[in-house]
Amino acid sequence: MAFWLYAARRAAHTAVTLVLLLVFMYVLFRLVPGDPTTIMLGTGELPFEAQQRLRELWGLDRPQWQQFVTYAGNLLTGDLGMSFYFRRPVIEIVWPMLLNTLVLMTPVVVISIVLGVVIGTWLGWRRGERIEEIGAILALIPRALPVFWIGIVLLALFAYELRWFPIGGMRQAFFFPETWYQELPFFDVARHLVLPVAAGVLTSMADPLMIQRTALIEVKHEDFMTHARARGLTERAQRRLARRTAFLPVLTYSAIMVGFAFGGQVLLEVVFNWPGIGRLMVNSVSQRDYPVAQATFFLMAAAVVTLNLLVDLAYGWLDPRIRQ
Amino acid sequence: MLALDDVSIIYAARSGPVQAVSGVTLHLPVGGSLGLVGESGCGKSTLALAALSLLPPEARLSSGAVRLEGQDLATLPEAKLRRLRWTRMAYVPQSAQNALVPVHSLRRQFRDTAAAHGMRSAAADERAAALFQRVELDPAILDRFPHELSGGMRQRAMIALALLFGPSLLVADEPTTGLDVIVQRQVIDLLRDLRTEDGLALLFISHDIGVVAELCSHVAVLYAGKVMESGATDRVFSLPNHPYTMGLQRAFPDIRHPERSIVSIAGHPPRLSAPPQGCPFAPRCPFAQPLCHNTVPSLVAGPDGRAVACHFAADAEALRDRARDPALWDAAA
Repeated sequence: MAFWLYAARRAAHTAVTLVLLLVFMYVLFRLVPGDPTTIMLGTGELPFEAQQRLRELWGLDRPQWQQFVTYAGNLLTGDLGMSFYFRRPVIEIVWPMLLNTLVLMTPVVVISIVLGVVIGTWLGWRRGERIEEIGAILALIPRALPVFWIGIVLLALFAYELRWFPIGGMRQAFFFPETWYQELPFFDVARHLVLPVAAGVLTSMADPLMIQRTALIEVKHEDFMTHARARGLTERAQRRLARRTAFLPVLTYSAIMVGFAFGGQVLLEVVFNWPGIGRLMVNSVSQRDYPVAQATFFLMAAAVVTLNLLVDLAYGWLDPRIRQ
Repeated sequence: MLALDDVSIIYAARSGPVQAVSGVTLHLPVGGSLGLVGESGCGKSTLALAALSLLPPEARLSSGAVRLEGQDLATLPEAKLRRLRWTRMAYVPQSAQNALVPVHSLRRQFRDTAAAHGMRSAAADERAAALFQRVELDPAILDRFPHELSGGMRQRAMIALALLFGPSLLVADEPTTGLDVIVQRQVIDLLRDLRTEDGLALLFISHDIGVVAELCSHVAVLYAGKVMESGATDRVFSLPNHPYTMGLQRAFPDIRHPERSIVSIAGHPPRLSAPPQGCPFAPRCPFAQPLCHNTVPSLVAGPDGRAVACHFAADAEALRDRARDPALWDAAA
């Protein structure tokens, strides 16, 4: 009961954030000099009457608030406008790219957190041993390197030298499976995923790992851990208990991490030539394709806000104290 | 039941080793009750943890042995020790707030404990409900989380959890600290009932000599990790032989003598990283003589089952007379 109340409150917060985000994006793109009639028609001079006619046609002569209401209404029905560059509805261009991005992002975030928590727990439990010191340093090295550099090194090694994995992209054109496992439905995408996911995990894993390790070292000294030992819990059960409690700060961080991962995503997509929303964003800005750029910015921001909501809900679920 | 033989415990602190407990010998018979009293930092809680073989990694049993039902806990393999815990000896810690797992419901904590000793969840639920009734808690509370309960409810739940396997020894470390007086009373009554009705042996740790006098047939007064005086509770508190016990007694209100003023013992317990040469209490003792500062008195057993570690135990009666004067305690130190 308390949980649903908490969930409803958090969902309301998220809705307000999204509306504010929308207003902010709208204003930001209105600040760009000129209006779509000048941008769309390049440098060529258009007769004043024709410009005026276009403005009326597109509703640009109406007050800003009316334009915003129309924009927001269209957005709700999935109408994000037309791309200047592709001359197709924005949604048709952005949607598949967003899915591609999620295909890459989801395993990066999930594997980073799972590996970080497992390894962080393992290291924290062995606090003070030599292996713990070495492990912590090893985990921090890739964290200090830029993600594109790691990506390039992985490509040079495993794609160019060893030829184990494809050089980039998401699918191979005309891929003909030769063995039974190559016939598995997502085999081609999966082998394209390995290197970018590895690069993403290497850079993203260190933070959850170090947070889990530190939290675990603190939790180990809590009274309830001594009590758990007194109750005769097995070492495995004790460690599970410590991991479960130490995980809470990692969860808090994972909301921030998702934001960072979206940022790093742009670099990852460029290095690995992944047809995702990050690359689309970079391209649309340089092509001055404002409807597409606006849509990608908004979708990315909306994705971060939504994931934050999910993290908060998970927190309420995992820590009963927060539901109050 | 529980026997501590010449137990010494050393903590490895950054500033050097700290002798938290030195040469403590205690004996708790089956169904018996023993109180450990003393100021904070006198080694009470360390002894409680040692009795359960739960010392933290930085603490080490440097000499002596802890025996539970004749078995030396230090020589038992970890797996055997684990099975002994909670089935034979249980523990009620100082703060139920911190000792309960914050993210699990009470039911889950009962089930996890049960599972560690091969008891099924269904059986654990049934037993938990019965124990909750025993400690006068509504079994519906089992599905609550620790933070949703009051301090008194948490401490009762803690006691119920300790009784899960019907242990023969219960170690209670200041179980009433932080509770208001009414709830304190309820918890003490509950512990007394458990002792008389269930025949539980109780090792009770407290700085409150009134509570110890009520709950325990025997008492050991600790100071600076050493036993100063021990014996039957009523004898020790009515006719203390050690100046420290006399001082402790004056530091608590006495319901039989409400006109007596409360007098604290001036000074602080010694730093255990650099213990004094002679009697550890000498620097604060109003009766201290040069001998006391140079030579450690040994714990000498008397004819009535009492033991005292004081050079002037023979003059105890005269000292008791002088100790009645509140001005004496102010003048010391």
